[in-house]
Amino acid sequence: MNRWLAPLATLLIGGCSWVNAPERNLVPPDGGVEGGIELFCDDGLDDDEDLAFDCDDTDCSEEPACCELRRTTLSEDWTAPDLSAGWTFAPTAGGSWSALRPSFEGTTFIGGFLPGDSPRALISKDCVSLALGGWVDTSLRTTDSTGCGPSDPCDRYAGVVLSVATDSAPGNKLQDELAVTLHAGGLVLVTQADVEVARASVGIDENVDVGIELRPTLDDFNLPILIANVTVAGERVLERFTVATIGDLVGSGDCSDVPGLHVAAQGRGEGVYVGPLETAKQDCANPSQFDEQSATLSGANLEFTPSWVEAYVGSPALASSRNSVSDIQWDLIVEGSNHDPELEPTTHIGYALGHARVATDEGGDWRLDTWESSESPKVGDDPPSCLDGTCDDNRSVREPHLLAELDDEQELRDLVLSFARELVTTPSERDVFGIEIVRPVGAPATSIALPSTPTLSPDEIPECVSLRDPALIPVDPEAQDGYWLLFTCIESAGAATEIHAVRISRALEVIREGGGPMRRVVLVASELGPFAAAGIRSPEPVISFEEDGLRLRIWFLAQSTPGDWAVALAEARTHDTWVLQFELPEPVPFPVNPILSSTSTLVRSGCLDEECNITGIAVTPRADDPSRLRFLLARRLNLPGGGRTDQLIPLEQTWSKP
Amino acid sequence: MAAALALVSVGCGADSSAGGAALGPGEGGANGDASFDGAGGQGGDGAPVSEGAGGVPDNPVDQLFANPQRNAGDVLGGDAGAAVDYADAARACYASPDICGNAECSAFASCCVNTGTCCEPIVNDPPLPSMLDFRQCAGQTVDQCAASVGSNAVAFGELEPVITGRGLVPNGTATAEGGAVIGDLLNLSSQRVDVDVRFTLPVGCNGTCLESAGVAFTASAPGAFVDADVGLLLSGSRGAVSVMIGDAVADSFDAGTDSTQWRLVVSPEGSAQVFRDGNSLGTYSFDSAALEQARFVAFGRNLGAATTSAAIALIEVESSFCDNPQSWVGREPLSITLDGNDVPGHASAGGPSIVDQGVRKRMAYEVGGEIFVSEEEAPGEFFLDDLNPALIATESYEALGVGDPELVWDGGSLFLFYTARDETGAGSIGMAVYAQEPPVFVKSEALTLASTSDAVSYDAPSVVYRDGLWLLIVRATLSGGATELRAFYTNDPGTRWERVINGGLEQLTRVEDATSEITDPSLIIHNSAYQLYYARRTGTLWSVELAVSDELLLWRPMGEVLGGADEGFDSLGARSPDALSQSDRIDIVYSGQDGVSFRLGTASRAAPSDTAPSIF
Repeated sequence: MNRWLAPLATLLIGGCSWVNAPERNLVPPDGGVEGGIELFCDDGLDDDEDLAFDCDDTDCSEEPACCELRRTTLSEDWTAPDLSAGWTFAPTAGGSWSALRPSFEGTTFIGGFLPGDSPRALISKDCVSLALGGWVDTSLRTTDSTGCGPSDPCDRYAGVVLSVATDSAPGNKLQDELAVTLHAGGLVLVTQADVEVARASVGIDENVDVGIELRPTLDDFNLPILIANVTVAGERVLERFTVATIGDLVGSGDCSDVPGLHVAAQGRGEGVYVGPLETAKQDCANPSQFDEQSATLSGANLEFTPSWVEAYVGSPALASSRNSVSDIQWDLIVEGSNHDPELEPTTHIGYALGHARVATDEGGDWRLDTWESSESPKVGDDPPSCLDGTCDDNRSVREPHLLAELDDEQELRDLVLSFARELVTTPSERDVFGIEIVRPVGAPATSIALPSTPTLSPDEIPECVSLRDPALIPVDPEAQDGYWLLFTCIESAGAATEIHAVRISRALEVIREGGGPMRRVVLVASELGPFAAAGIRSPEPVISFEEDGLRLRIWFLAQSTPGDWAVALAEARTHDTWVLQFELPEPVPFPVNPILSSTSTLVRSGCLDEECNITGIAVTPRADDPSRLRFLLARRLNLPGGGRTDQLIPLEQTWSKP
Repeated sequence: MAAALALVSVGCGADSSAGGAALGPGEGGANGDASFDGAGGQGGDGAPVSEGAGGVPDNPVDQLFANPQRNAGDVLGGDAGAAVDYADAARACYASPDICGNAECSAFASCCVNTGTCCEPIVNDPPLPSMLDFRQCAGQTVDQCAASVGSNAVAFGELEPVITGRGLVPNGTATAEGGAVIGDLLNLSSQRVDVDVRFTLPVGCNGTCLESAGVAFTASAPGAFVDADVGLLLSGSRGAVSVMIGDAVADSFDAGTDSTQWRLVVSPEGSAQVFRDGNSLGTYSFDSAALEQARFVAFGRNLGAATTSAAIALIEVESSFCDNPQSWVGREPLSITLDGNDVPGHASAGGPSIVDQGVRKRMAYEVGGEIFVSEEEAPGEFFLDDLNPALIATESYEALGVGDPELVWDGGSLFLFYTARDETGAGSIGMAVYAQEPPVFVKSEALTLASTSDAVSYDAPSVVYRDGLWLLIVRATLSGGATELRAFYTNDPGTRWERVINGGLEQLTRVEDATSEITDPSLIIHNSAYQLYYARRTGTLWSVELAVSDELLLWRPMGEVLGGADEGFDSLGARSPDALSQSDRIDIVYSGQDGVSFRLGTASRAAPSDTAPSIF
């Protein structure tokens, strides 16, 4: 996917056309253009040629591959009278046992894993979240090397283990995804599956600091994996070692949101000890962690008339701004229908768009009952759908996106609405959509009339039979030079697999190059990984212009198998904001996608028969705190006794850089 | 046929440092050169040998074919270049399941595995009626119509479906689908189903009418809605028939007319082929593993009069068993008892091996460096006559014990091959013969395979006996620490074993990284092809993989076929497979991994054994 800026580079160097753009995956991320970005933070390359490689480049400081901010998740000094509250004494079969807790230089260690007829371990009852990166630190100490050589494994040992297991079998070691073990003679072995992967030698009767640093990354098949660097007595003994695929980590209990492992102190016999044990997770932005907000919305809360939303409300668009009295104004536009979308394979279903608005106090949350609503569709017909042939001339409007253009005071300067509109001339011809962009949008009650032709028609994009899910990205902070219009390219009757972008002027006209729209391919499902194997759609971009460049994040829906939609994230950054007029920096998928799956608690909560689906997501920075992003997750769920309903769930996330 | 193979074997004239002369029936094998280096290259990537003759001219291929009466080389011709042609043809066929399933690849019996070909029609008590012409049942209920052809059907929906001269009108509404579940449950992970369907198009359907009719397989009982996991749906308003995968439209085609014949072929490997009037429209992937308890439904919605509604006029169905190596059922822990009580520690034994002697099945396993042999009294239930091992360490080269037992029945005697480990842990392969009951085995004086300068250790033997030929697969540990699987053959297991040279097995299975491991091979002959199961460790997790071959030289890697079940004794993984070929299925014993310990278990899968296409 290393295609970022490549077309611009070719234009600058040789005036080549898009057709001659370098092949994906073959071009350096910045195409050789100076002043770019350290796009890949763990590839060993100085992508932007600023003489700072990977994590040495401040571009990467917030990335999972480099984040150094720690939040302690487990801290054990072994001084509590009863350790059984937090630790399982394994093996649990074969009789109870306890461990000695000697003090060395004022620090309590645990050891004396007796009787020595079996390896024994204290396994954390809590799972420690590590999938987004983390650390495990401890000290080991051997006090008696009798009978054990300095370079030989010994039957007396102690160490720290990371494991998916919560118990061990008598006579056997704990299953070790990764273990660092000090043997009585001074040999330190790093093992996986009890197979040595690294070793070191240390002295007797001295504290040996052990550090395990864990980072998520993608393997050669774009599968998210957890890699480890291991340090023993200040020396790095193992680098970039694959601990496990993220999918094989523990994903339940304390690790239901962010997968992880159990941590254990394991040993056998006397004379070797484990010191205080501490684990931490990265405290940089965590795209998988959402703060749930109050006031889940529905069509009824928004006071839309049932005639056009009684069967379905979804695909939200959300914008945040300050109004004239400095309250926070939220604009919400949704698509709705009086018939179930599940009827789509059977017949044509019509959709319309409605607009609702609410004002809240600074930092506040919206209420359920104070929305000013368009009531009837702002765009489209009421009812939008008929099954008896009485409204065959209706045409659907779907999948709105709102871009709030704000002034320096975060007050609304313009609200730009984009949506998909059905472009057919006869009732039998359906499912062909183009993109409409409208500015201004007006108050909720202000209707929007459609011009005869769309802003962008599929006739202009040969690869796409239909254009869906539009979203706008301003190319400069004021959007004076226009936008990039993202959209889902529908190539056939099946699921979409590509998200494209077309350049739009401030006057909302398509900018052309080489005889056609100036167009780029933004995301391709086959290049993203298994989580997107069955298709992608519905991009939701958030761009932030900063002093040292810009940051573009695109949330989108991805499905690993048909119908299993999840939320995923890709991100791009560049120092060169001017480039945006010509090129979109290539978004790189987050290492741990999807960030929100259909099996997550958020989506499953209250589900009947576990039949809940993600139908859309909206993202916007809060006008009163741009570092805080507000999401609106649309889900559809079965009702007891039959039927389905829709919910719009407000969520928030804080990003240290917006 | 044999003459053609002789040309293949002899005519190509490539040098072989290990001899490779063909063995005549009853002849002893030539002295194997254990120092011969295999094909080399990086292993574990699942790629067959990349070029050349693939060892075909270097080995007695006419003897090595899994079914000597079925020589794929005959189809390919016997000129001087046939060896390379043969190898190239195999590589081309092994490139993908789609290609392997094509008729031109039928020369290779190994293409029967996981391609939806070589299936065995279910003739007795098929799960679905072979033909159901609803038009002939006008006025009847759907269950009456199904009963008239010896099948069954259960209607669902707010309104009962009706049958008219147009066919089955499902009678669903805007809020709930209607239709009928037809026939019995199917296992689409092991069964192929060919469905021919003819729709009756609605009359006067406008752009938004609700006339639809479809057929689909679904994993869940129909409620208000049918989850069409894989199927076809006629939409009257769209004038199209859509391919439904995962309850979503995967593709759509013009509906044609009432006489248009639609065919949906769902195969266990998870492919659905769609034909219209005999012309292929496309192939689509679906999750066959989720359809082990699949229902076949006719469904749809109708708001118009029954005289103008969309309907299903006719369905014709042919179902058959296929060989899908991932479709294991009955994954259960096994028990080993003595006098009715579980024997402590034996259920978590290592290296199980099961053999069918016709009148009884025995299973050998290793506990604490000793080998025990139990007998099956019921599927998954084994018993010991006493606590005495069947084989113990007695020799100096067995200082660390004996293990990895492999039982082989040649029709007259029961053989036990095993790994003997010396004080350094290096292994060699020994053989013993059944001597008395309760099972006690007497060791041969000579080792079957001993370490060499090239291979410092051999372990984990798997042996097949067929028509006077003995075949052995072992893991070899090379002097540099890498491991690989190697194949040997002989006509007399008490003498020397000849190595299969220049084939692709070594390259396929070589491991040079401490983070992974390949071991515990299990070779069987089934449906005229070799099936080689082996265990792969990746990190801490074990899985069983499969490679198939017609002649032990060119291998078609199938990837993981048995892994973690998410719950139970094998929730995290599986290793130590030992497969047993049966007439209509393959049984397997293995060791399940749950993160705490390993425990022996059993499973089986449907696998027809006499369906490889005849090449005569």
